Amino acid sequence: MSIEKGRISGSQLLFMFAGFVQGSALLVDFTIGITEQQSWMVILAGLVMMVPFILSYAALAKRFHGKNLVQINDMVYGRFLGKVLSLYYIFFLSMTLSFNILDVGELYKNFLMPDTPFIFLLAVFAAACAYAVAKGIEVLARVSHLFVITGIFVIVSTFILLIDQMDFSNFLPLFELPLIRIIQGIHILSAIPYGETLVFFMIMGRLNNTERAAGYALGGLLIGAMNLLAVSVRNTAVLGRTQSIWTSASFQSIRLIDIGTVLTRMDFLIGIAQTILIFFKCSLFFYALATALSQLFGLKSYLPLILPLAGIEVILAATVFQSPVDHAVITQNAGIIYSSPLIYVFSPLTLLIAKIRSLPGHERGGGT
Amino acid sequence: MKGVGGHDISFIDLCADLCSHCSGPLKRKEWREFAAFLVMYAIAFGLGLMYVLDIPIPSPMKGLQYLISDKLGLKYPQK
Repeated sequence: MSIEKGRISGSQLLFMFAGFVQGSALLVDFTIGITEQQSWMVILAGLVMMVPFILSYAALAKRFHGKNLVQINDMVYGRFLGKVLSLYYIFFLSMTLSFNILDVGELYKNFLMPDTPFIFLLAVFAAACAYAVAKGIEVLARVSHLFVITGIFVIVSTFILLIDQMDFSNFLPLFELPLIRIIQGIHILSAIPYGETLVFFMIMGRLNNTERAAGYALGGLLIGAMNLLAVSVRNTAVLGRTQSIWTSASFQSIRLIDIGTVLTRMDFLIGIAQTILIFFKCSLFFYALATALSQLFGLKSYLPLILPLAGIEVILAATVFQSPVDHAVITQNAGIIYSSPLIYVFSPLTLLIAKIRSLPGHERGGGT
Repeated sequence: MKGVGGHDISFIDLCADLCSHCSGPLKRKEWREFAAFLVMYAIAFGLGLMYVLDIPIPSPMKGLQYLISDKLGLKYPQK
């Protein structure tokens, strides 16, 4: 039984992957305090590290064509263990969605609308995501290229406008950081912008052709990673070592744009682009959470769960961390450690077990 | 006559929302959907009420931080 009838194409998957990773552009700040001027390296290293795991997601989608994560878990691990593992995934989806809603709230509270009540910002944003999710995955997929183009436009235009203020000696010295900080940086980058793509486990089942899913997923990941790299290079080249002292390095670097005293205060561009991209990312998380829960409960549709889930996520977002410092400290340690088994262990393990047990057996065959 | 305050509007809005979402599954006799909606709605309402009344809501991440970093000692060295 499928709780979603919509279908998406391979190119739409590519744009969804790219937009999803772009939505984490502000989260690169989590590594800046740890890896400083070498953040660009950990972005690339994290990308390389995540490639085999993304390939395993695509291989699972191809093997279990039309099935979502909860159905795959039930088939591979059995009804009881499968449900337990699905609950773990659902907890991850729920927590990560609340963090992303909180990110938007903090973005608006700190930089754009400081006098607006925080809970109101969260509620309005969650309601917008709920509306998008209610329209279905097809609608989100159809507009995904617009989100990606908007993100690329803002990053490229701000990069060009800041070229005169860039000092590439800010990247020196190379390889001076202790290895453990590089490893932590790679762990953060691979777990947050790239590892969160396991949300596509709930989406890849909707692909109308899974034959080239791996190529589209990797292409989207690469586009998203190049955007993160451009953001990191821009911030380091403009701000240098001072980037680690700002609340948001991206906002601070964009504020330095001053072209003939006419083009100034361009930080609204980051505000607009990030709102759009985080909206897209949260909508995908929301969709995955609603469909996973509906599948777990054995419902015919995920629509009845959307509004209650939005309410729960808003309250979670408002209460999960006491302050932005608390947010950063917990995310840099427990936040990335608790999600590690889901990102690095269970998808290859599921694939291995499916291969050994020749799953999904005789049901397989609807490859295209 | 008493005027309609913010809390009254919120309450009316909640009731309207509840009715509009209940009517679909009820008409189609989808009892499982109806039960799931009511359970999730009750959780959302309970959490919302706790938030409004300033009752501390336990943070799952605080619990994980305690378990992973403090009890199991799994954490990266601080700078």
